[in-house]
Amino acid sequence: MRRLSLVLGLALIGLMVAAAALSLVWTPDDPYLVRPQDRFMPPSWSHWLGADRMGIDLVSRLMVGARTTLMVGVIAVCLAIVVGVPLGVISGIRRGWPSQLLLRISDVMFALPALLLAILLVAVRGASVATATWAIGIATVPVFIRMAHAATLSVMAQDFIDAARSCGASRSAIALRHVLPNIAPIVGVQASASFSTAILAEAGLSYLGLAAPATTPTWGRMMRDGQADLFLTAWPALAPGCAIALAVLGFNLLGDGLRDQLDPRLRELG
Amino acid sequence: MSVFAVERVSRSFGRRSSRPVQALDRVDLVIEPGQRWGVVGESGSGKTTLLRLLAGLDRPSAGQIRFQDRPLDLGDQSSLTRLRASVQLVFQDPQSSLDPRMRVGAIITEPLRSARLRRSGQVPTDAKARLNEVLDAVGLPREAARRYPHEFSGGQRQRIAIARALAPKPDILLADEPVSALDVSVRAQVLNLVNDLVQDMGLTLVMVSHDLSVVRHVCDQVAVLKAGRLVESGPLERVYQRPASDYTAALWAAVPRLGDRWD
Amino acid sequence: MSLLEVNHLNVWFGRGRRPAVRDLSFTIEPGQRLGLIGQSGSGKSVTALAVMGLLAENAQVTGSVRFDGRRLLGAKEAELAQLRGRDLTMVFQEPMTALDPTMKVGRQVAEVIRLHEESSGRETRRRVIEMLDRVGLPNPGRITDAFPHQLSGGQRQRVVLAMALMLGPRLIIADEPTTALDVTVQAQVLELLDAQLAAHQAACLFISHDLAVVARVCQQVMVMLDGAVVESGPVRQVLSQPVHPYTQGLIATARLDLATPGARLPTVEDFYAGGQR
Repeated sequence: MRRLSLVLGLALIGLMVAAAALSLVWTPDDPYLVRPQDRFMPPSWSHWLGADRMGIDLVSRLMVGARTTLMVGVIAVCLAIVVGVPLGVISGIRRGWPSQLLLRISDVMFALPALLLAILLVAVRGASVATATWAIGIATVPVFIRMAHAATLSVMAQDFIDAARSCGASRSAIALRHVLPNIAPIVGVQASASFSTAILAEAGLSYLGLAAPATTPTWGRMMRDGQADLFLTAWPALAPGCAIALAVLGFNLLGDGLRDQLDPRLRELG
Repeated sequence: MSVFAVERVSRSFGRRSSRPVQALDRVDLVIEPGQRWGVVGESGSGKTTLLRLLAGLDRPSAGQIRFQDRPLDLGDQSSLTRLRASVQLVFQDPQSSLDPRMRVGAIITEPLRSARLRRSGQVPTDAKARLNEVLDAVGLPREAARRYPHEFSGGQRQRIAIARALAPKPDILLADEPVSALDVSVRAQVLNLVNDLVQDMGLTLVMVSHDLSVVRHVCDQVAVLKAGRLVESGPLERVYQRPASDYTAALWAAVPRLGDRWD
Repeated sequence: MSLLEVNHLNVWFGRGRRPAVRDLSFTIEPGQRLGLIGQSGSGKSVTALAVMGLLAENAQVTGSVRFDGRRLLGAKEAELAQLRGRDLTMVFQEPMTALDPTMKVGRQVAEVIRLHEESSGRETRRRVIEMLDRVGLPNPGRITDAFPHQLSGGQRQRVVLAMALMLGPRLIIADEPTTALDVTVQAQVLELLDAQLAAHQAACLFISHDLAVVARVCQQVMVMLDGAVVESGPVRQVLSQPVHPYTQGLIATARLDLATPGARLPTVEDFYAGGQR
């Protein structure tokens, strides 16, 4: 069962990565070419998932859109991990007033929705994929701070931390060699979950027109365009919608599978 | 009529891929009413597995267990009800075997609220009266019922666990290392209590322990397990005076004792 | 000069609570083994952690702890880290939780070397395997590559012991090192500890609730009750002529093997009414 979710998650994500990579060299059709005669065409041999209101091939657009979606997710989550995890770990090991202040600030930020942050950033920097990525990344940082802080506290309460200190390990050695490996499974799970949240957030921001301009194909942008024509045909909205759902499912499954694989105590039960 | 008849019982644990672990290997044992059995062995000898089988928490991979002369069938509701109505368990660690968010009174009367046991008609119906009875029996003040487990010391918590086991008036008490999590100085109190209760209530006792000196104090029969096999069994004084195997002798020799030099 | 000198040590946790350790003073000479005995909650473990400087942050400590003349109480964490693991080591009660579950056993033992000495990878591995062999682990080459959960309780405690012995410490603090083990394994581990302490000529502060275990390893014993020492002296003397009624009670309860089977066992309360906890 554990294996299954890992394999299924990896398969879904692998499919997405493969599609994105393939789109760099080949797509079934030109993802930017307007063919007025193919407008709202249902799935057929020439357009596997049909074509949108501009007559652009949906499969090709989805493949190119996967690139943006992946990039936004990877960059945003990496940003959140690189900033959030060290802060969370340090605040869990050193419990002075700077740590308390940091936690309170992250609590406030946590209460701020990514959307609000994005609107603020867009107001300052203008709508773009990069702005959306920053907004999602920054909004995810407190998630990792809180998670890493809580996980560090529970690891620090374990006997083996005292044992390591009794062997002469310094705080930084404990953080690097004992705390990080022990919280890694939780970080991995959180990363997968945050990745799916980031994909959803990017879709949402694009949908609202706060991320990508109309010419850049992203899944959220495609859904926005598709839903306007929903009374004419479902395909232009359904295709990106399913792609988003599958990607989110894939990352959630990966998170579950990862958690069990990264724990050496559970690994052998599989 | 015997209480338990363990007939060539084996229990193996393992996954399909790797080789299975034989926790119990063709064990035979007959437990008569009123006997006080001690099951001893090192960790990994299968003693806790045997106790779990007797408690109906697990089923043998081979062989069968007869409870009061009838085969014990965990799939059969009436068989299970009979077992649960007359057998109660005391665990090793009173820290984790008591729910920290329940008051002591609720913990002790919990088995009395079991619908299955109530239907069997063998369980005291006046929970309040029974609560006071068992609190008196284990030497805890009655006002203890309103408090929470963490307010008590390890020895007192084990008294609470014993009171919970006694509440439904069992005939048979199973105990898994009841004193090994306790300080040596508290151990004596709990052992005295178990001794008194078993004698006063005429209970049949099966107690698992790695410490022969503890078993010797409470039990009159002993079964020695090693790597899942029954090494020897019989009246305790006989096994103690003339152990048939070196393993039993080694178990006995391992008990730390204050030297004779200062006597 | 004494190896360890504890003077008027007091430890509290939180305001208004009773002190966990009260006005505790004792010394340990080089190579000497001192047993510290008492019930759970008597302050034994707090004493051990105070000496190691491992007390939780909410603990308030007064008094002085000197190791080899150097002040430990109030010393900088970095200064303590230098001593810990090299001259001053500790063996914990629960071998399961005292080892990092995510790290291979060999690496955990190697950590001790890496933290204190320059040593090549190959040389470190050789020393780790040699030490695992010395603490009686079968097939030490394979054990280095095992995770803690793949070992039995007794094997894990031998690994913890190997970490404590690795750099030839001058004082080992053993906090109930055999309480979690069953009697046969306990006997083996005690024998090993005894032999290794003798081989290294290391001193030991041995903490236990079991007088019989302390008598097996130590020459000196200290009896602790509610945070204070009520009696101390050579093991032989304390066991044969206990002065404090609490000590008399402890001795009576430890003699389970001498009591008549089935007869009522003596309890601490028979000797000392205040001991109920």
